[in-house]
Amino acid sequence: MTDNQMTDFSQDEELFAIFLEEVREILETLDQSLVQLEREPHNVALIQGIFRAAHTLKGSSGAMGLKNVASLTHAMEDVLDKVRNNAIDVTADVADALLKALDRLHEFEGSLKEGKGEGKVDDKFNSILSELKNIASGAGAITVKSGVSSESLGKLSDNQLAVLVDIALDCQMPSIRAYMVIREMEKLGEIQKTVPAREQIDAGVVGHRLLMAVTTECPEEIIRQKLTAVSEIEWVRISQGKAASSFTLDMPARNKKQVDEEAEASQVGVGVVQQQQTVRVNVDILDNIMNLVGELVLSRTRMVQIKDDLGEAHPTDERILDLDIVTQQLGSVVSELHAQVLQARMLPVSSLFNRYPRMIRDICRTMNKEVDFQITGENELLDRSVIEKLVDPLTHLLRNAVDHGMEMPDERDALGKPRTGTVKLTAQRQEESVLIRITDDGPGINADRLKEKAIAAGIITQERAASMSQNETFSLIFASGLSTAKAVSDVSGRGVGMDVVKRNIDAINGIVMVESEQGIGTSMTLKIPLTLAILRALVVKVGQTFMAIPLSTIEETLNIRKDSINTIRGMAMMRWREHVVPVIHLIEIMPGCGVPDSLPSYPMIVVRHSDRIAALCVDGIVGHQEIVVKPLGAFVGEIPGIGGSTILGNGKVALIVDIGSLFESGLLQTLAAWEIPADMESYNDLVAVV
Amino acid sequence: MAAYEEKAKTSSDQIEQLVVFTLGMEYYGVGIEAVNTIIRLPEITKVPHTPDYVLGVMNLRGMIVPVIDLRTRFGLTATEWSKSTRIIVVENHGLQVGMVVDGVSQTMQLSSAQIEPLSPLVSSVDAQYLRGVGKDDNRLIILLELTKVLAREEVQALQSVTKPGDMEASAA
Repeated sequence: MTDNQMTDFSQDEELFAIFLEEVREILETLDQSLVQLEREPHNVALIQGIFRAAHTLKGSSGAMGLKNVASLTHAMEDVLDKVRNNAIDVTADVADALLKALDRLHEFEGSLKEGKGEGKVDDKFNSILSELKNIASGAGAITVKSGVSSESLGKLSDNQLAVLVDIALDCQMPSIRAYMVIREMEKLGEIQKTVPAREQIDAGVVGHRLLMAVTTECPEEIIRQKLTAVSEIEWVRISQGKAASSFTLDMPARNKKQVDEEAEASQVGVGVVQQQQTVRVNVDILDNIMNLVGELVLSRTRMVQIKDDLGEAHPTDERILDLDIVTQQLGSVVSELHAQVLQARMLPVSSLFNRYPRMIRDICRTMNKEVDFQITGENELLDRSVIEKLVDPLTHLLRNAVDHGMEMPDERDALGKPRTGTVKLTAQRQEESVLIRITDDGPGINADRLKEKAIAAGIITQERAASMSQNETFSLIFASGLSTAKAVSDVSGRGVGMDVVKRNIDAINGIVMVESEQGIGTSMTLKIPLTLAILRALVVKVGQTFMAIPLSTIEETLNIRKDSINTIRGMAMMRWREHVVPVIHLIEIMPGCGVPDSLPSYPMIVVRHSDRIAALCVDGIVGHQEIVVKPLGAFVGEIPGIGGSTILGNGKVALIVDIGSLFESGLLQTLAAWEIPADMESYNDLVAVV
Repeated sequence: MAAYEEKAKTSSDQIEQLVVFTLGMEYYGVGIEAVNTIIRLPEITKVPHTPDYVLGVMNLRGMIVPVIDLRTRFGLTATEWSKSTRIIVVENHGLQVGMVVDGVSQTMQLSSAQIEPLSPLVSSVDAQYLRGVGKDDNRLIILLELTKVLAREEVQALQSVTKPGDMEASAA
């Protein structure tokens, strides 16, 4: 029967996809909350959340016929149940066992995704399973401490009350308190049953909890008052008749503090998985809708143009006025639709951030470091494609911050810093970008050592090093020669693969900024665009071709006369603010775009990519537009300096200029600052254009 | 009964439906299942740093589709575009590409019996782009090996071009 079920389900791909999505979400929740549990072992709401997640997974994997997933989650559930009943404490070992099980669940998920089923039971699986079982059964012996959780009063009638009394955990003789409570209760009404039974209480076999089924005329308030008056009674809970039956069955041992916490938590929603009204949609469908809406945006723009043309041709025709109203209405609907679809593609960055507490915890545990990892701003939204591209860079930066960066506790002590280091991961919306910042209070970057290493690696010259600003120096950590040589890891704590981080961030039009103070700490800021699908760009004409330059890269737009451009070492240069920047007509590096117009002056666009600046001449500026990015496709492949294409309102195709790639491909040569002639004569001749 | 068997045999024989187009005086054929659409020349946007046979990209109903000049691709002399010039948009292994041809004449059926291996005398085009010759009653139809025609090796080779100076040199 089970086998049949399994076949049925695996044939139903859609159902299986939904199941996988559910698994992914549950594992994500567990990733985050298990690590949190270790820090907040008494957070009842959190424990409940974890328990529910494991329980749900057990149920659905069982239904899908995945026996191994089900038995593993079952074992986790048993442990969590004991935790929930205060039968066991969340020690590091318990957390380890649960996290190992979680890792195994991730492996299951991976293999299910690849269509390999849940795979064979191996030794590792068995050892995790038995570890969990040991913890759960070992806990059985301690159950006495928390008393009566496994028993119940049985079914209560309508006129009965269930009275639950918690005796202070530090009470030495709970049986005496239990006896006193029973005596008080007997004054107020008639006790039908107690758990533990009277004989057991008399024999001294009692935990810190007592449960009674009572009939009484006495108001609940009075009962509570009288019973609480007994010394060392911490908490009294009274529940009526039928309602009490569920109360008796689900009777976690809890103390007052925890109950308060839970009440608070459920009010604020902290740590509780909130049910939202959502529908699962395949990402491909979302992408398609996005494309279609993109087309709609273009059609609207085109329609406005046609309307304008018609209006000029037939200025007296009233129907043009009607058309105007209709296009405006259409325009606002399309804009709204566009915004909504963009919104639908957005995910909170928590889906990204949640994977890191676990990683940091593991690093700390293996390296005996102490780090307080704080996350804020996890509700900021980013396009899902952007989020996917951030996983690796953030992993790298965070790992570095703890692994290489953070000092050992004793070392920190000696430095007069708190033993526990702090690493903060924050997200913050800034206009059309999200700033993601990783801040640590580690040793910071030693700028001098960094320069020495860079000189030794041949990345910069001695003279250059002397003239470098603080920011320029820190950006050296992204130089590929340095990072692969691991040269800086001992000085600054930032080493391997920083060039990869830089490249990944570049690829999504992001910027990395480094700030650091030696002895105080380091802060890395990633400025990430909200979405990759839509760009704000300046559309320009280059020869006969339209090109779009992302606004995020543009510093300034100017007009410049031909004769105000000077030449240094064969390169056209000009002075812009405090920089000397190369000047180049885009057509020179974009062959085939036609012939440049012969103009006395050219529109010029000053673009920047991190610390590199250039001035690009074009033949005309069309204007600012929101453009829908379309890849050039696999046939054309990657073209240096071109980041894709877009369709303009007039139906023409414009190429999107990728400023980062323009610099990095070598198409746009820049003179480094130290290459500016020493005599400075020609430098001073440069016209300052401001 | 015998006639029936003969007919069955013919139909088990593979029938290919072709779109036939011209380059100069020669007739070429491409399988109809690979052809998405045939259009007149739209505006084509040149993409820099691509091989000379890549004319650029076009807007095909909101999609960006690259356009290649089949004459240049095959090493034939380029001609002026005329009223009959068309773009055949084909799809091969998920790649959509427009091919500029001199004209599209018709669609036709060929059975595999009518297709012969390539003889070097038939066409001036590099044999690697071709997979055979179909014989109609009165003419030869050269069949394209689309996968080769749309192969990207040369595209990749050209991507190493980086310096503007080099570009000018190669353009000259």
